[in-house]
Amino acid sequence: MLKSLTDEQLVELAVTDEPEAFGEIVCRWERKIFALCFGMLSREDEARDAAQETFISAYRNLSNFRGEAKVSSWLHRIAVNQCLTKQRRTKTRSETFLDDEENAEERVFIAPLHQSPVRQAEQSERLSHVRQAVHALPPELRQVIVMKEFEEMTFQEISETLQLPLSTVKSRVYTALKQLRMKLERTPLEVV
Amino acid sequence: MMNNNHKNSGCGKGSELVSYIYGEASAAENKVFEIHLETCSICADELETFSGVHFSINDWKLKDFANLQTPVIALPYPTAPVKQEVSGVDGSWLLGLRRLFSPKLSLAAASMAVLAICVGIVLYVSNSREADYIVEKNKNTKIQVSPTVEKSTEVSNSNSKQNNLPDPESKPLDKPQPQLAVETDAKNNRTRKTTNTQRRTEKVETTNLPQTNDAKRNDKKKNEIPPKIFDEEEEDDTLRLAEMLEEIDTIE
Repeated sequence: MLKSLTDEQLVELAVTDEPEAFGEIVCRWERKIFALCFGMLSREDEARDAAQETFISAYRNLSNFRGEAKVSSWLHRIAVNQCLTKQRRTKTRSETFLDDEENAEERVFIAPLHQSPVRQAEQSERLSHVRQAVHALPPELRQVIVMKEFEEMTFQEISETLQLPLSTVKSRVYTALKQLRMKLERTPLEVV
Repeated sequence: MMNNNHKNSGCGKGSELVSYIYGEASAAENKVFEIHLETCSICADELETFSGVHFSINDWKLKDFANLQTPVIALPYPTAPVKQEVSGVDGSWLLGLRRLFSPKLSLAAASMAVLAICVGIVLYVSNSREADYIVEKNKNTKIQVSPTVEKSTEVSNSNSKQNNLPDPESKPLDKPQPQLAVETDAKNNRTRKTTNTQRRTEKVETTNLPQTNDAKRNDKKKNEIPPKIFDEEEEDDTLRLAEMLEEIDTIE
C-alpha cells in the first residue's frame, strides 16, 4: 500500500496518522542520500553519520514540510547542509588529507593481485587526487557533480530536485568538470 | 552566486557537450554536435579531458563506494518498530498474550463478568425470598401441641411444686417450640416424629411414677430425665429443619 504512494503523500500520512510511513521514504532515498554524503565528504564514516542525521532531522521536522517543494529536494537540501556542517567541524583539511593517504595505503593491500604493485600505487594515487579535487570544489558545483556521478541522476531530475533551471544545472556540471580537469592536470588521467 | 560565464567560454557549446558526455542528448542533437566536433578543436579537447574526469570519478565511485553497505537508519519513532517484533520468533507468544489481553477483549470479558455477577445476585436474592416465604407459610400453618407433652410438663411442674425444689432442667420443657409438631398430611417422617415424641413423654411419665415412694429419688430421676428429653428435642429441631428443607424442595 505504502509503495504505491508518492513521497508527498507518504509525508502527509506520516504527519497525520502513521509515523512509520516515513520509513518508506527512507527506503526510497537512503542509498542516494548516502551516495550524496559520500561524494560530498569523501569519507565513509562521516557519510554514514550525515545520512543518519539527515533522515532523523527530516523526521523531526516533518511538520515543517509545507509541500511547496518535492520531498527529494527537501532531503537533498538537508543532506547538503549536514555535509557542510560536518565539513566545517573537521579540524583542518590537512588532517583529512593525511587520513585519506592512510586509507589509500590500505587500499593498495586489498587491490586485485593481477595488477602490478606499481600500477596499484599509481591507481590509488590517482583516485586520491580525484577525491581531493572533488572535495575542493565549491559546494554548489560539488553537489551537482556528486548528484550526477554518484546518484546517477539525470539533468532533469537534478533540476527538479534543486529547483534550478535545466540550463543552470548543465552549466554547473560543465564548470565542475572544467575545474576538476584543471586540478587533475598534474596527474595522468587514465581510463580504467 | 554562480556566474554563468563559463557557459559561453570556449565555443559556447558547454551544455551540448555535457549532454553528449553523459548520454542525455537526443539522436538528432548528437548528430549535430558530432558535426560540430569535426570543426571545433576546443570542444574536441574538452570532450577528451572531461570524459577522462568523468571516468575517473566513476572509477573512484566503483572502488570506494559501490561495495559499501547502506547505513541502517534508526528513526526515533514514538513506539518501537513493529516489523522486528513480528519477524522475531521469540516474540510470538508475547504477541499472542498481548492480543489475548487486548483492550477490546479485556473490556468484553469484564462486561461479561459483571453481567454474570449481576445474574448470580438476582438469582440468590429471589431464592432467599422464596425460602423465607415458605418458612413463614409453614409457621402460619396449623401448629398443635401434642397432648402427651402437655401432660409431661404438667407432671414435672407438679413434682417440682410438691418437692419445693427448684427445677433448673424443667425450663427447656416449658419451651413450647421444641415440643411443637407441625402437622403436614402427606409426610411419613412427620408421623414417625409424632410417635417419637409420644414415646418420650411416656418415658417421662414412667420415670415420674415412683415419685410417691421416695421424694429424693424422684427428684434425682427428674433431674436426670429432662436432659435426655432436651437432647432429643434438639434432634427434633434438626429433623424439623430437614423436613422444612424437603418441603421447600418439593415445592420447588
